[in-house]
Amino acid sequence: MITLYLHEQKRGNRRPDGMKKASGRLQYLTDLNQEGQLYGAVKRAGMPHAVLKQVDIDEARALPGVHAVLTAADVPGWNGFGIADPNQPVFCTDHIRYEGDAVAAVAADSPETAQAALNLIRIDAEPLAPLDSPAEALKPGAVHLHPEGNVLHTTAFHHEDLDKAWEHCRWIVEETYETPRQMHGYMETEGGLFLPEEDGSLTVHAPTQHGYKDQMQLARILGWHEAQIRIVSSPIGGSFGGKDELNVQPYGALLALHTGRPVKIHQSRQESVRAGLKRHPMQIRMKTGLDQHGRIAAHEVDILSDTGAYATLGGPVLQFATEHAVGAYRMGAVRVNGRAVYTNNGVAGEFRGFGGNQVIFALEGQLDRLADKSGIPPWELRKRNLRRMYDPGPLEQEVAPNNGPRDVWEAVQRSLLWQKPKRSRSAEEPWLVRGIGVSLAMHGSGLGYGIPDPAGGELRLTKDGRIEAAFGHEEFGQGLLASLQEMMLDHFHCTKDDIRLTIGDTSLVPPSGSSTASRSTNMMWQALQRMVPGWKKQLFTAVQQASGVPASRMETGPGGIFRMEGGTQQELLLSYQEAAALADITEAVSFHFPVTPDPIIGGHYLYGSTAVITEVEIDQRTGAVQVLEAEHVVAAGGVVYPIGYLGQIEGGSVMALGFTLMEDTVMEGSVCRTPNLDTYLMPTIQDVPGYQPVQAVETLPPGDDYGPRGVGEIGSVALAPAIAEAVYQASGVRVERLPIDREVLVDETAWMTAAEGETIG
Amino acid sequence: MTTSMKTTPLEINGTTYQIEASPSRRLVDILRHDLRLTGTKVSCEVGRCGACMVLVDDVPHNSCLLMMYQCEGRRIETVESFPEEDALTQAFVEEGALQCGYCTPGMMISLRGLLRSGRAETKEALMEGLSGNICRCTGYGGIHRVLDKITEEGLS
Amino acid sequence: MTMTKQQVWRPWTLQEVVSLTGQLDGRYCFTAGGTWLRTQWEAGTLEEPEHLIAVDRVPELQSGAAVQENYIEIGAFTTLTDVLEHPAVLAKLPVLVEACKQIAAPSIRHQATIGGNICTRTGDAVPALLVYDAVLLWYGSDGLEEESLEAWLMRETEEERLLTAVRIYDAPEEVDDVVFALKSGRRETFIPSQVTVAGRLRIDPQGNVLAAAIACGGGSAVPKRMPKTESLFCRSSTRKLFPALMHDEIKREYDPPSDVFASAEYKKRVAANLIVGEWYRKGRDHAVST
Ligand SMILES: Cc1cc2nc3c(=O)[nH]c(=O)nc-3n(C[C@H](O)[C@H](O)[C@H](O)COP(=O)(O)OP(=O)(O)OC[C@H]3O[C@@H](n4cnc5c(N)ncnc54)[C@H](O)[C@@H]3O)c2cc1C
Ligand code: FES
Ligand code: FES
Repeated sequence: MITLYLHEQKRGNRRPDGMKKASGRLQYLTDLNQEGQLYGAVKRAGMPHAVLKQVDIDEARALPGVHAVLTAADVPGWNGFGIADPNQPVFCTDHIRYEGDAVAAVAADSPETAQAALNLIRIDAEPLAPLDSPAEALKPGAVHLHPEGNVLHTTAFHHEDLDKAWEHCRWIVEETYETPRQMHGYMETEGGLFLPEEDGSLTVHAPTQHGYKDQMQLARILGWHEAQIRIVSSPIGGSFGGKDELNVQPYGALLALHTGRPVKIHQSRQESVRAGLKRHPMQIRMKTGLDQHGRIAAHEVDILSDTGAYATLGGPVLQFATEHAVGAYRMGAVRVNGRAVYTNNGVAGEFRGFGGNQVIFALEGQLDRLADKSGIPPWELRKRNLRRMYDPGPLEQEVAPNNGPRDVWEAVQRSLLWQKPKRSRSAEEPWLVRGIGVSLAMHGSGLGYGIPDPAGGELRLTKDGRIEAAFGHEEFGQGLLASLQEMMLDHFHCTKDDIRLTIGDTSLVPPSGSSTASRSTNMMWQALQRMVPGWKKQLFTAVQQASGVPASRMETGPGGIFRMEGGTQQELLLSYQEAAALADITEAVSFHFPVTPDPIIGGHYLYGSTAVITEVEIDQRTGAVQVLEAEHVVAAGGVVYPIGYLGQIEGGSVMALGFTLMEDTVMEGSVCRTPNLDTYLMPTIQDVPGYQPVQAVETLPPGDDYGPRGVGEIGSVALAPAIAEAVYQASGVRVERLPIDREVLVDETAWMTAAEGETIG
Repeated sequence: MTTSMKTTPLEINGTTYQIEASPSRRLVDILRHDLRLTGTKVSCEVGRCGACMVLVDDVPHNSCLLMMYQCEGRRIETVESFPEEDALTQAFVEEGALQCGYCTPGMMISLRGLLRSGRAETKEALMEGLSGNICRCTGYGGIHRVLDKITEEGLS
Repeated sequence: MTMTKQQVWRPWTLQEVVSLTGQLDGRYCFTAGGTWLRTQWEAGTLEEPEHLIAVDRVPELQSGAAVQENYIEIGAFTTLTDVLEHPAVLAKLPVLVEACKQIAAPSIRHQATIGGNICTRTGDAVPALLVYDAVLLWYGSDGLEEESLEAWLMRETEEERLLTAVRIYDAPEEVDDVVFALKSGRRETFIPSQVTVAGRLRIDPQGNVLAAAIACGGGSAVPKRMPKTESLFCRSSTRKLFPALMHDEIKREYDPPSDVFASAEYKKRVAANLIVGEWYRKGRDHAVST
């Protein structure tokens, strides 16, 4: 186990994109410009629900400086996009389903002219009552948002006889939890540059988490072959799942092809908030019972997910939530039912944690309430119910042996923070109360059973003498390039200058699947494991022919291939560049993310685990909650790139802090009331604990050769319930809704009575 | 008195540019659009994120809030005017104070402004100085470590 | 997205301002730092006017903070940073200092002016200025006029005159015994206020309150003085705090509107808690020292 914090991380940071970013020299895709470019802009519906009758673009078209105004009639292929189900129209035809729905797009000489043209587009529409909650959308007679009705997806998982199981329960807790419409809040809003090429093809420079998926989706919209489209998709100014789906790409592509000119689009924050994806708000009812030994005998869950106007990944997110509503615990009887319901509330989609964050808040909340009720200490209660190494997974599926939950549980026992008194009140300022809470979670890696989860990569020796690793993954800040570099250095014992990392460009990289679901690091690790031996064999064989030294006596090293003797490096045989002249040395691999053999949709095979201890302070004058400490334990296999690992946990944790304390896209009648960063609040440097100690449990069960699990999401999944418990310890108030409403925490009784009519002393 | 379109001399990174624009044009548009100085980022356009921070007469300002007429006769410095490698950029990389890097130019400008003002002595002052810069990726852990380096090791 | 067709006028004198406002007949707006205006324009809550009259060149607005015989004057075009750094303000107006420190973030305070903050009517400096009985100096077609801040806030007519300065007469010789300016929003810092309170108390050595000035505001509520609460304070002593009584009085007197983020009831309670909290603090100090 290693502790990653303070300055103990001495390995240094060699992230390849570091200096360019620190100096502001890195060009993002929204920074690109091209001679002769036009400026694209999208006309959004601006109303949440309506029958669209007509879009009048004549005046806009006539405006000097306007080169194109496009509507649904101008989409040559499929007028829709969506990773799982392409039911979001590129341009609306007859039904407006949310404020951000696109009805037209313009290309003009300047951003100002494009904006002026948008203002001249008239939308003739008949407003409909907004379906502003799943409850409204489920009412009989509610307008159908899609042909299949208003239910996008349902899940059902049953294990053992739940109805009977209640009889064995001594303590039962039933509660309904609600979670907010969190925004990804990537600092770089959506945009890019779209270039029609001379050979008739199209180059798209726009952020995405899966270039090949964008290529497929755009080809479908344009009615083209995928090979005609090149997607350049990195670097990215943040994504967190939010840029996995298409956003401005359809408009940029159509406008560029229509005008034959380069088109630049960069959405404003306001447009980004109104049009972009959010985390699914979920209403989660849980009823959970303990038997007299403190074992969870019965667990019933209903999940109602507000998926917004279109499908995107609403189904898979619900699936994930269903599995994680059981999580790391073994239970007697279980019934989980989930529904993802269409509404007019924007569009909910993929977001770091993928539906786990919501149900983990609820599940851990149940354990804390049951601990209270039964008198079994909360941490002890968890231990009694945690899965063991060889237990099946949450959906009773076969999983890789996994002791992560118990490992992190043990580590918490040793934490000094956890040993502090659970609550206290300030003597000088009696309105300040403190509390400590802890929670635990297990989080699946990969997309789960039934969802294509392909991986692949290529290793090449380039003519200029570099070992090139090419992956179809993306760099959005998570440090993928740095992790890849570290792994390459480990494999080849060479220098940074000997390697080349190629990502984010469909013309240069093989398909590798998406950069989501905490899978990229693991996929690259596995791909390298598979490719390196074969690649080295090819290389050494070629060098053997040239040098006469047997291949078995060779190893790669700084600058080239060395002769080895007894494990130590002798003379340089050939430089990489010389070796590259001998033969074409390329190794490619494609495979599938490890998946459970049991055909249970959404079931995972690999998991990471985490526990979080937190201390909060509540100001009972205002109900403000300040997180003073957050200590994390993470079991996710080996640490490839320490400062990157640490950064993922710190960043994920602060995102969870925002989710818990302040972030929510407030909708009134399906109209967004928090359209910019002055009303949609994200944590500042003053809202966060400065140091968040992170302990990494690196041990994996014997025989586990799946490599490091990703840690992109796990830092964000377990803080909310820990804060909720700490708030309870401090104030005695249980919170079921996030973000925590300050109004319920205002409490003047303690210090008012202390001072009533008397001098204090 | 001034009217409509106008040519205004602006001193940016030591060069005087003659900008022909409405005097109410935002500095962020002049930088990113007219001069293609895209090191200055844009994210909220209402002063709430700090991505667009520049120095005006040595002091941090949000370039989305400044109009051209307000910049006349003043010295503007963007991230491009600072070296690619110095102690501060190195500290950012080493301590993991950046991930996607989109907030970083703004953070750097705020910090450089503070360091120049000589008011960067305490961690509190530094944190206060960065309170208008939002970072969504790092959770500020790496940034805290950089601030410690500044206060403890006198990095400048 | 911004419109960039505006004309910007930059008059040098008060007379020029008046003749411009006459000519432009309501199709203009004054801009100082422009920080508040930009947020309104971007959000679409205010239309960008055809003409901007920039007030940055008029010398009367530029005086910074100046100490006169019986008043401190702060020019309307003084940035919040300059307000915070002025020795006279630091020495004599601690409530204003506390209030300004909590406005926005440093980069905004370098540009935002005290005049702009006042003219928005809901700025966080306003409660602090109210407890100093601040007086506003206006320049319009009738020449220079003085009006108390409190009276101006109560009038709801649209202001056409130019604010040249704010004056605080009889700035306290010694610092008051209790001074506070507290703000509560939805996060720790850099946050629009939900509740802002400001106060000054004079207390004799026996703990009797001799004078009290209290103001509340925040969010879209136009800040106001709290005369009933002040009078209750003036009948109180730190020997016996009666916090519940004070709490009730404040909640009765302060009447903010609800908004999407907080109820009126919450804002009342927070205002009461913040004020009574300071009172409690003083009572505790008193108990410790006697
Ligand atoms: C990111 C951000 C955060 C903010 N945070 C806060 C905060 O925490 N607390 C707070 O109180 N405010 C806050 N504000 C609002 C604003 O910045 C302040 O109120 C500031 O003091 C306004 O000053 P200004 O010079 O920029 O005003 P401007 O925007 O120039 O003007 C504001 C209004 O006053 C009028 N006006 C300005 N000067 C004069 C004059 N001399 N005579 C007559 N009318 C005049 C203008 O016509 C306009 O109606 C914030 C703004 C931003 C952008
Ligand atoms: S873009 Fe200027 S502060 Fe956000
Ligand atoms: S590094 Fe991405 S926003 Fe700060």
